[in-house]
Amino acid sequence: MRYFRLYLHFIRFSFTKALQFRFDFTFRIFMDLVFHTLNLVFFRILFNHTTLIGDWNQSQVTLFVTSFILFDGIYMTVFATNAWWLPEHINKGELDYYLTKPVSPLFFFSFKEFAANSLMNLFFGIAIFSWALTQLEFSFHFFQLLLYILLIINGAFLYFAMQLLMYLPTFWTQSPRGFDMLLHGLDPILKYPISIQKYLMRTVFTFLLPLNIVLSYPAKIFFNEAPIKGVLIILVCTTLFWLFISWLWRSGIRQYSSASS
Amino acid sequence: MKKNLNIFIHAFTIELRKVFAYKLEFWASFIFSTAAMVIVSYLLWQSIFELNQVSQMKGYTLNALIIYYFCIAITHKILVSSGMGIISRDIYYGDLNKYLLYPVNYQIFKLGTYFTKSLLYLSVLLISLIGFQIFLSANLNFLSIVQGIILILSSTVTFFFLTSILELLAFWADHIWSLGIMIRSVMAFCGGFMIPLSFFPESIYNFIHYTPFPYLLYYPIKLLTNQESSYSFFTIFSIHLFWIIVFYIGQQLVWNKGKYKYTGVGI
Amino acid sequence: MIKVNNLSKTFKVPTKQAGLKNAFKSLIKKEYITKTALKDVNLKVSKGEILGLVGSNGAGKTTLVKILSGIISSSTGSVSVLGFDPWKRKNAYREKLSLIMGQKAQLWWDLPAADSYLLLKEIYQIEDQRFKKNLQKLTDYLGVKDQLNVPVRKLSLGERMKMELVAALLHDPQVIFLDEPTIGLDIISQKAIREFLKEYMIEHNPIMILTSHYMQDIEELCPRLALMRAGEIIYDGPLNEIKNKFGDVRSLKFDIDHQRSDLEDFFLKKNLKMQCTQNQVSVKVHIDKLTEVMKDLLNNFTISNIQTSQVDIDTVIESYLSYEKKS
Repeated sequence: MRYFRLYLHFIRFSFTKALQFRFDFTFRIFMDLVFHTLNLVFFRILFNHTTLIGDWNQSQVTLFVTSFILFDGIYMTVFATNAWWLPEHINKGELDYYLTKPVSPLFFFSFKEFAANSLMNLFFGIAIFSWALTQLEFSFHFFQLLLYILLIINGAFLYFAMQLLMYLPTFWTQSPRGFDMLLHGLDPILKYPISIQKYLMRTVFTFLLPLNIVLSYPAKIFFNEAPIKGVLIILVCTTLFWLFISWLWRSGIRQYSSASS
Repeated sequence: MKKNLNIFIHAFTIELRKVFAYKLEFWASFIFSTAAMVIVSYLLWQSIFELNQVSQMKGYTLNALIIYYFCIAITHKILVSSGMGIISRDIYYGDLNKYLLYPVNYQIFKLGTYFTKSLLYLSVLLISLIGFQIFLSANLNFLSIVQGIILILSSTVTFFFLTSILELLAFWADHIWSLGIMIRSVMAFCGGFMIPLSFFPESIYNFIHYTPFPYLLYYPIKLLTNQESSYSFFTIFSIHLFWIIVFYIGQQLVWNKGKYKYTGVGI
Repeated sequence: MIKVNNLSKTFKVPTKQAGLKNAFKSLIKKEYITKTALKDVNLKVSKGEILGLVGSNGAGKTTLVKILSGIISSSTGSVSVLGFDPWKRKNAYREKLSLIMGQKAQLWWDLPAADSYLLLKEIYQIEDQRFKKNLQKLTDYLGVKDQLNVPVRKLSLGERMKMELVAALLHDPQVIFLDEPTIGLDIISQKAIREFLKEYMIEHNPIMILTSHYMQDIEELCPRLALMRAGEIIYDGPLNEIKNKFGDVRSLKFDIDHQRSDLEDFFLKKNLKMQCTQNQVSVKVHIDKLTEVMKDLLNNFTISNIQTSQVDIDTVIESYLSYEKKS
């Protein structure tokens, strides 16, 4: 509850700031429109040459791609800015202040910067996702949709945890950016239908670095491909991964405390 | 001229030292992103080939597609090099002051910085060509490789000037990284990063040939891998020169306007 | 009450050498050296006391403060503040603690200070009444009421520091660590902050540790002083005592019309170090030797404009630090 109130403060702060940087606001909308349109066009071109990708047809793939847009909207609004600043906070000693406050520093660093200037992109994501839903060739139950959206939100949280995994080595290496480009490079795995993945790869990106859990499994569940098993896998992987990250965070803080002066 | 060359080399070595200071991060992200792109694209095409029971599409076999995606993934890296912010950060944080005081050409300094990672990536590309020749029976040819390399280098210069125009917009707007990402995704798409241009529907295909992007990525790689191409080395090279001049003039215009906007931050 | 027993802190740093060759070398193997930041520190500070922590850069002041506030851990020894082990970072402890670093801001750069205060209110769960009262009082004291709604980045350095102070004191901390609170400020702002801290001490009686480069901060605020050098506390006691210890040293200044190389030899023989700017010479002499030195000087050299004066606290500390080094 208290953390919720803190979060409301962060949101308020963010609007105050966003109003000061209007260019950034318009650029971001522009960027996202172009970026996601190109992605949609890409799959459309592919479907000129085939009828299925893996076992999904065009309307399914389109929904999957728009679920990426929705996910990206959530992630950019809630987490991206925080993730971006994290290594600098660690390197430049910003962490010091947060360690002396009676609030979890991890909470601070995860939610401090709400990106009001990406909010438009979130709305755009919602709109295009809803459009893709109407294009689907099968009917679904309302609760199915609700579950799907919840799982996408869970995906955004999980992706942030993976982002943390890339940044936390900063505690040990003092490198300026950690391994963030590495995760960024794995984006195609997130964006392409899972059914093209072979067994080994699928295992690695489901259980080791759970990129498949972010969007692919939620879509599979929604398409009735593996409802119960899918939800189970998502729950287990998400929990385990977060446990691992929070353990890593704690040892990072310990390292920070013993290696600096 | 000699002085400029020295500055270029100096900037190059400074950046090289930075890269080596964080070599693990550098190589890991390079290898992972390239591998992920190539593998995922390969799997995608494999599933399409299987489904449609064909052994080649639009003149590409699966092997040829692997080579194609490998080359284009690395060449894309060569072009975009060190990421956004190479100039805009200097403006935003006021580091530009420093360079304005040094008696050197800022542009050349930045170009040197820009080229560091590009050349590292390029060397990887060249080494992997040997692998293609041996394992994927690529039909390589020494002359076409040399031509391909020259074109990739001139592409990099062209793209550097294009990005620097955007970067200089930082004189007016504080955050321009989103513009940079935008131009990169357009470049990648129109250059055939996600899918070879020959798969494009004719209307889009024709349209994007009016942009500089296909000549920056797609055609240089065609030459590098010794494939039939509708444009010769000299045509592409002159197209590069044309765009370099256009972007250079544009950049000078923006710089001349922008420098009056510069406040120096903290002075 | 702060109690520190035999506290030591060591850490490892990678060595980095210039040159491309060495960059390649570090590709293969990174070399580390162990650095000692604190060595056998013992300290006791009680409620209502304000301790001045003095030392040159890298002497370990900030490290000590960071350990006391629980940001970093100690290597050996025990630390207890208000009965807590700071390193455990219990919320109960952190609620009573405040850390102000002159070089690092905690206020949000793009927002008015008032917004950051509301956030702090939430963080420390300060009740409305108390929050209003404290904010009112602190901003009154420091005279920054009008700037509350100006984005922090538009404030002057002095105003910003005052805002930082308000932020740090809103929750009535019982332990306050001030790390260079007046760094970079002009004399007027420095003075205002010192005055404020003085009054605050009288009224709230917290434990306070102040580190500063400005001797004046220490002289005016801290009756007690701890001197640090290379991670050790080399003096801990009343400020006056250290003054007295060197109180019988006088600074002797005079003009000499032309440079004489034998002047240096003259002082060297007497085991004194002279400082020279153009034709003014200054030298520190013990009071017992003063007459003798002056007599010899007048006999051997043509000098004019002779003055003697008490040395100031800066010089006292400086000579204390170098004096200890020799012995």
